[in-house]
Formats: sequence, structure tokens, C-alpha cells
Amino acid sequence: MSWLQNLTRRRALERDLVEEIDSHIEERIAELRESGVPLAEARNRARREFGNATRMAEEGRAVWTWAWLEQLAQDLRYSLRTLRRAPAFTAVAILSLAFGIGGNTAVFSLLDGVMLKNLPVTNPEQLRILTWPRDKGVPMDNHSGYTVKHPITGQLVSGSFSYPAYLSFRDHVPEFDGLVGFTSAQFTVTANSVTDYGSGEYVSGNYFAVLGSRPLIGRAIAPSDDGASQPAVAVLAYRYWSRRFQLNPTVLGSQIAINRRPVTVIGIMPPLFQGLGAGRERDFFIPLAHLDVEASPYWSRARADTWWVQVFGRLRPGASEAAAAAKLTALLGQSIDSYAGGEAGIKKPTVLLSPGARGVGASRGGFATPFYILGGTVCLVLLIACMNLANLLLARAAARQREIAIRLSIGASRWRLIRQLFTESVLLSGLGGLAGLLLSSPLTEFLLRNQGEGESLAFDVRLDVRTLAFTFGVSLLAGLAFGIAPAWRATRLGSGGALRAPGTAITHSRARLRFHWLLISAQVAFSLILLVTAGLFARTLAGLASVDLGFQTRNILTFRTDGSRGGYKGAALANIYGRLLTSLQAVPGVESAALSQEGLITNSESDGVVYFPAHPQQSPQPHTFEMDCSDSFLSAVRIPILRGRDLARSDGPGAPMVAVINESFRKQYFPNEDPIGKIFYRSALPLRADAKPIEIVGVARDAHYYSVREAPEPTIYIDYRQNTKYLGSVVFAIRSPLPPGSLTPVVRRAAAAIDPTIPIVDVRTEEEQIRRTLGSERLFASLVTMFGLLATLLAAIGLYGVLAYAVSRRTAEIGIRIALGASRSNVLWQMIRGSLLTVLVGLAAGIPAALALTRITRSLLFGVEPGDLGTLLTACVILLTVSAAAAWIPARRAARIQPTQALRYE
Amino acid sequence: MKENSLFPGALEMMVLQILRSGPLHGYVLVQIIKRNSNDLLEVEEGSLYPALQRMLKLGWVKAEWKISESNRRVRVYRITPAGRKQLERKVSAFDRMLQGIAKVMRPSES
Repeated sequence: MSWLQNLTRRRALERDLVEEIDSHIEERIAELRESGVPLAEARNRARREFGNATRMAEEGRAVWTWAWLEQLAQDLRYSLRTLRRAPAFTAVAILSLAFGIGGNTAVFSLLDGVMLKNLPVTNPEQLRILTWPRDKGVPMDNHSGYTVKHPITGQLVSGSFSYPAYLSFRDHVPEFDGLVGFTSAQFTVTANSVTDYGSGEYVSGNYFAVLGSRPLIGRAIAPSDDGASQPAVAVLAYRYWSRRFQLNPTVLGSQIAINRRPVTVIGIMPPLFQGLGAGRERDFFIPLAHLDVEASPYWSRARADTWWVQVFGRLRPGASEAAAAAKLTALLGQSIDSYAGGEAGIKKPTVLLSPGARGVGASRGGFATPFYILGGTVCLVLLIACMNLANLLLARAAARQREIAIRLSIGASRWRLIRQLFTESVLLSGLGGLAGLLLSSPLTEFLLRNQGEGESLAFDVRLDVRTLAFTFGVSLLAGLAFGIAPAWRATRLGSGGALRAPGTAITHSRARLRFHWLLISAQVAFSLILLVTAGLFARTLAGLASVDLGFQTRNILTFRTDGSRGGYKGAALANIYGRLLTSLQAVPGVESAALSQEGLITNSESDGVVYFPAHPQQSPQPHTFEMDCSDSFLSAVRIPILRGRDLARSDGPGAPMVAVINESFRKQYFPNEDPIGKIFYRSALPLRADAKPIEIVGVARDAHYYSVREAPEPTIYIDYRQNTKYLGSVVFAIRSPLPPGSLTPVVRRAAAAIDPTIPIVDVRTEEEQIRRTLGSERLFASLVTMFGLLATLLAAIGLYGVLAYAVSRRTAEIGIRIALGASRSNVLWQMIRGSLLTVLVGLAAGIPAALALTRITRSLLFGVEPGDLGTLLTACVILLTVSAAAAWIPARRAARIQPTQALRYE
Repeated sequence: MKENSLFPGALEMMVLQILRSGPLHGYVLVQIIKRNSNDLLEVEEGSLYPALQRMLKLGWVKAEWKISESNRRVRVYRITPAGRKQLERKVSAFDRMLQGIAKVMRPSES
């Protein structure tokens, strides 16, 4: 039956009932009249005998309806009206809940996307990752790939196998519906006349079939593509297609160059597909048959002694995992025997299967501490918001005591009233949750973007059913949490008590307020924790910003390039870099151009040991950071030379090797002598045959090398042209007052003019580079500060609300006191004293908690310790000041009460 | 008859019992219950109507509007087969309960 029919039928039923009752009473009246009772009396008696006709009709009606549903609708309407009548309260409630719930939703969706969510492939729970426990006894010529802790056993496991081993797995283990092999690498990609890096994955031909993933457009790689004689093809990831090709569909079928080889784009995967690497962005997929063996000498498809293929399989439903693992172990043993058979003391590892539903990747484990801090912060905020609301609702419930008492005394059941009050709080939390949802998406984006070094993580964090369910659950829980105490207390007193005149309530007002004060104290304590954390991060940021890096960061544009990707090596590569330097230096507006093997403040460094022939034997060998750079480097970044000379043009390939050392190097290794002219070797002992003596020609001032946090350490600067053997990618630094936007195309043109296949990547200013390395510090500082201030504000609102309520309740008492001669300052002090005490209790509880909890932030702090007294005191002072201000307003109102006003109140 | 002065379902049982001998309308039903119980049961006449609604919903009785002998439009209830079955179940359960109570109250007679 449709609801419409149901409704008409119910209407008819109700009409029948009412008519029937009327008819009953009429009949009784008629009967009484017949026996001689006068009309008026007959009416009265008939009605008395019948009882409460309205209630009977209602009860009769209730038989046909879902009474609770109608009551719910009634309660909702009533609650909405109540909330509309108190817009300030409602706004504060919804806003504070929005932050609390929104924060929790954002952190949850992040956590879910990063740690909990399955890969977007068919039946991900059937996937298994193959690994083996690392052991030095396993013979092999080379191992590359990842080594991680096994998610279940915790032992160190490797996920790499040799290609022949993979083939035998693939063909001889029927428990699997296909096993895929893959490995990932950085590639250069030349397309649209730009060359840059792309991260790709070499995959076996059955990769997409086994995952059950279809492309968005075009076709996926098929087993037939995985042959060396087949034309080279690639499938692009959606995000790469969007970023690099602006979603241009004509890229399909066109040729791009990957590691300088022509490759045809045959398909584009849907947006969420990221291969098997969770969180690590994959740009494209290429068949394993087209492995660029030049890129790594160990990528061999023939050799069984180089292990570099990661293997993943789809377990057949119902197949025995143990049997599969046993077969794989036997096959791996055979493979090892094929090259190391009979060698003494070798070990053959056991193949382990671990769940692959969430993909492979080390990136999933690395977020623990930041997540704890973020999660803890948002939980605290929600908790504070809930306590605050409980408090405000309690005060409101008290103000509604008369209404509630009246309703109780005319027969409303207590359960019904509690339900109604709950409806109100859950409605509030629902609205707060809705607002929180709106808030959570930008917050999640913000969190993702500011993770780590500004690299956006490719996790699936869309708002989905799971997130919605989480938000709904949290909202409901929050509503119950802050609604339970007010609902309970409001309906507890018997109907008699509250109907008394308000003046008599003086006597128990104090006891009733104790609960309010307790909540405020707890809020203060929690706020303190957040404020202290915020303070620590703010001091960390300030500390990091005030660090003297030792070089000038303004007006420097940097980019990374790698000529070895263009096929250049050694001296030829140095030559290419030299040509690029010269052409950049010739650009109008460029003051100087320099290059170095590592960029400054990029969290990467190069280091090694040195040997001083003039010094007595040293053990351990002296250690130094190394920076191979152009002779223009120190002057370009403005690291001043303190003694001797800078590197020079003439310190070229054939010239005697020279080095500039920094102050730390001098202090550590030449504390009492002039280092200029001293000789050292860059080599471990015994000296390598090709190690050349290097003469120290200058001392430069200390400058930070790879990070803002780490103080300068001994460092040597050597002309890159004198040490080209290991020359690879370099970072250029261009000092110019020109805006970076106009400089970038010039740089690209200059590079393309020399060789268009050389990638130019990470083009950014040095200041931007530094900001990126401080991503997580900035993230925490801004988030925790925001939440800390919010919490403080909430605590202040709570304090204000409770005190204002107390004053309004005690108007009569205060009036009488003033009439009896209490001074106004006396009254003022009395009101403030209570609040002060509450705040102090909160602080006393919050200080040890803050000291204990902020310890987990230690690894993220800089220049300040978790137990920092100044930060603690500042947080206390802020809380005291804000609470004093919040208490002042109602306290002053109390002090201004006129005795006459109090009498009127009676 | 206040609900709490009877055990749950007693009113329904009495109504079904009375309707077994023929269809009646609400007013008459109340009069019969009052008379038969010798006014022992405290009566609030109106509480019959929610009970009748419940029984209508459960399908134990059917109702239709008719004109009474006193030329009044009344709603007449008749018992359905389902109502009869329910009555039998109720009565036997009631008997068993009475026996149980009797045994407890006067153990010597059992």
C-alpha cells in the first residue's frame, strides 16, 4: 500500500473514531435524559463516565500510526523552533561542532585513504604480495627493490625476485589466477618539446588482466605487448595525463619519448588507478619486455642472480595459501640452485604471502607520529566542543526547568522528555556534522598537500560512504555525549521542586553549579594541552625562520637537471653542464649562474671520509660533507670566503685539484694551524689507487647544506669538472632579480637549445624550496594553533555562559546582599573568584597532561623542548586572561544589580 | 475501567467473549461489561475505544456503520474467525493461570 493510500485510510479511521466517541456520549446523554436527569447534568455525567475523550481518541489513533516516528517529527519541529529562538547559542554550537567533527572527518578520511582503504581493483582481498625474509646467506649478485617490515610478523622482508624466478612462479603455481611482475623507476619523458621526469612501472603483460583494471580510454597492456619484438607501448595514469597533457585525448596513439626511446601511448587509466604502489604516484606503465637495460646493469631478464622484480598474485578462491607458498618456496630454491647450486653455506628463503589488498609501499607506515598528533588534536577539539555544549545545554535546561516541570506534572513521561531533549542535542550535532563535512574536504586537501616536502600524495581521500558513515557516527555520538547529562539532570527533579518561586532556588544553586565548573575545568585543561602544542610549533617555526642559513636565499631560482639521462657521461656531461652555465650567464638580467651536485636545503647531501697525510693516523677517519659545484657557486649563493681564495675558472679538469673548506672543517681538523695549502685525499684507507691529493685553497663561512634544522658540519667545495667520474644530476642556481615566472621559459629554452632530451625539473625559487622542506612544521603550527585558539575561545564561551547563568540565577541573592551592605567590589570579587578557581583547577590538571602528551612532538620540534617553561607559562597566561575577560562581563553585571531589581525579580 | 486495574488483554478478552453472541456497538458493549461485572471493575468507558482500535488492527473484529433501533448512527463490531481463535487461546491461558493461582493460594486442595 502506498503511503498516500495509507494516509487517506488513516484519515478515515480517525474520523470514524471521533464520530464513534461522540455518538457514545450522545447516547449516554439521551439515556440519562430519559431517566429524568436535566441536560446540563446529563452532559457532565456522560463526559465524566467516559473519561478523557481526547486522550482516548489519541490512544486509538496511536494504534494505527508509527507513534514514535510522529513523535520524532514533532520533537524535531519543536527542537528546530527552540534552536531558532536562540540563534547565538545555535551558531556557537554548530560552529564548534563543525570544527570538531570536520577535523575528525578530515583526519579520518586521510587515515582511511592512507592506511585502511583497499586498492581500487577487482576483489582486492584476493591479492597476495610475495616476499621473503632477508638473510645475508641468500646468494645473489645484486638485490634492488624494497625491504620492509612484514606487516604481520614484523621481520625484515624483501619483495624482489629474479625475472627467471618470476617466470617459473607464473607458470607453475595453479593456486594463483595469475602472478604479475613489476618494478618501478624514474624515467625521462620527452613530449610537447619538454623533457622532465616521470615515475613509471615496468609491468608484465598480464598486469592489468590480473588486477581486473580497465582503462578509461584506449586499451590496457596485454600479454601480447610483453615481447621484445613488439612495438613499445605505454599506458598513462590519469593524473599524469591531466598534469602533463592537460587531458588532451589526442595523446592517445601518439608517440612520446621515454628514456629517449619512442613509445606509443595506447591507453589511459581511470583517475583512481595508481597501480600497486599505494600513495606513490605512478605516471605510466610499460611492458617489462621494453626494460631499458642501460638504465640499470642489474635489470636482466636472463640472469637468475639479480633480484629486482616485485611479484604480486591473485589467489584463486578456495585455493590453499600454504600450498601455494610451499610451491613458490620450492621454485625459488630451484632457481637459486640454477646459479649457486652446491655452494657451501647458502640459504634458500621461504616465500611468504601477505595480503595485498592495500598495495605495496613503504609510504603507508611513515605517517604514524603526525597522525597521532593530528588525531589527538582533533579529538581534543571535539571533546572540548562537546563539553562546552553540555555545559551550555545544562544551563539552558535549568532555565527551562519550569517548562519541564509543568510538562512532567501534567503527565508527560520522563522518557518522553529525555527523548525530546536528546532530539535537540542530536539535531545540533547533526547540523554540526553537516557543516563539518563541508569543512573537511578543504582541510583534507590542505593536509595532503602539506605533507612532507610539498609533494602531493596520491591517496584516494574522496568523500565516500565510509567517511560519511564515520561523520554520521561521530555526530550521533557527540550529540549523545553532550546531550546525556543535560537531559538527565533536567528531568530528574520532581515536578514539585522547580515549580517553587525562583528565589528559593538560591539554596541549591551552588551544588548544581559544581558540575558546570567541573566541565569548565576540564575544558581549560584540554585547551591548555592544545595551546602548549600550538606554542611549541609556533616557536619551532619561528626558530626555523630565524636560522641564519649562511647564504642568501633571495633572488635565487633553482632547477634540477640530469644530462646523464640524455646519454652523456663523465667529461662530456661536465661539458654539457658548462655550456648550459655559460648560456644562462649570458641571459640579460642574470647576475650569476652556478650548479652544484646537491641543491641547498633539499634534504639530500653527499658525504665521505678524508685522509690528511700530514696528520698522525686518525681513527675513525675524518668525515666531511662534500659539495661538487661550479666555481661560481659560492659567490652566486653569497657564501663569503674568509681566508684564501674561491674556486676559479682555472681549476679545471687538467689543473691540480683544489678545495675550499668551510669554517667547521677548519675548526675541526685544523684547530691550531692555517689550513691554506694543506693537502688531503678523498678516500677511505688504504688510499684508492686513483685518489688524488687535493690542496686547500680557501676557507668559506659556514652555511647550511641540506636542511634548516641541522647546523653546518665540515664541508668541502670542489670544482665539479675535477671530479666527473660520478657526475650525475645537478641543481642549477641562478641569481637574478627577474621574477621567476619570466626566467623559467628562458631557462627551458637555453637547455633545449643544447639538448632537448635533457630534463629540467623542480623549477622553483630557493625560498620556495626552503618552505617546502618545512612543510610538516608549517602544517602542524598552523593547524594546532588554529585548533588551540578555537579551544580557548570555546572554554571562554563556556565560562561566560555558566557565569552569566549563575548571575541570573542568583540575582535575588546578590540583590539581598547588596541591600544588606555588601560592597560592589566584594560581589565582583566573589563572582570572579569562583571562575578563577575553576580555571586554576583546570590549569593544575592540564599542566602535567600537557607535559606528558607534548613529548610525542619532540621529533618535530626545533629550538624548543617539549617541556618548555616559557611556552607553558604563555599558554597559562593566555588562558587566564581570556577566562578573566569572559568572567568579567557577567561578574560586573552581578555587581551592578540593584536591590530593587532583585525584589522585582521576586 | 482503568487499564491498570485489569491484567493486560483482559478487556480484549471480555469484548471478544461478549461479541461471540452477536454484533454490538461500543455503547452497548460498555453497558454489558459494566452490568456483568456488577460494577466491580472500575469503569472508564472511553478506554474501550483504544482497545477496539487495537483489535480492529489485529483483525479480531470488524466494524461497520449501521442505524440502531433507536435510529442512531452507530458503529457495530462483529467478531472474526481470527478473533474467535484468539479468544479460545486467551481463555484457556486464562484458565491455566487461574488454576495456577488457586494452587498457590490454597495448596491443600490440590
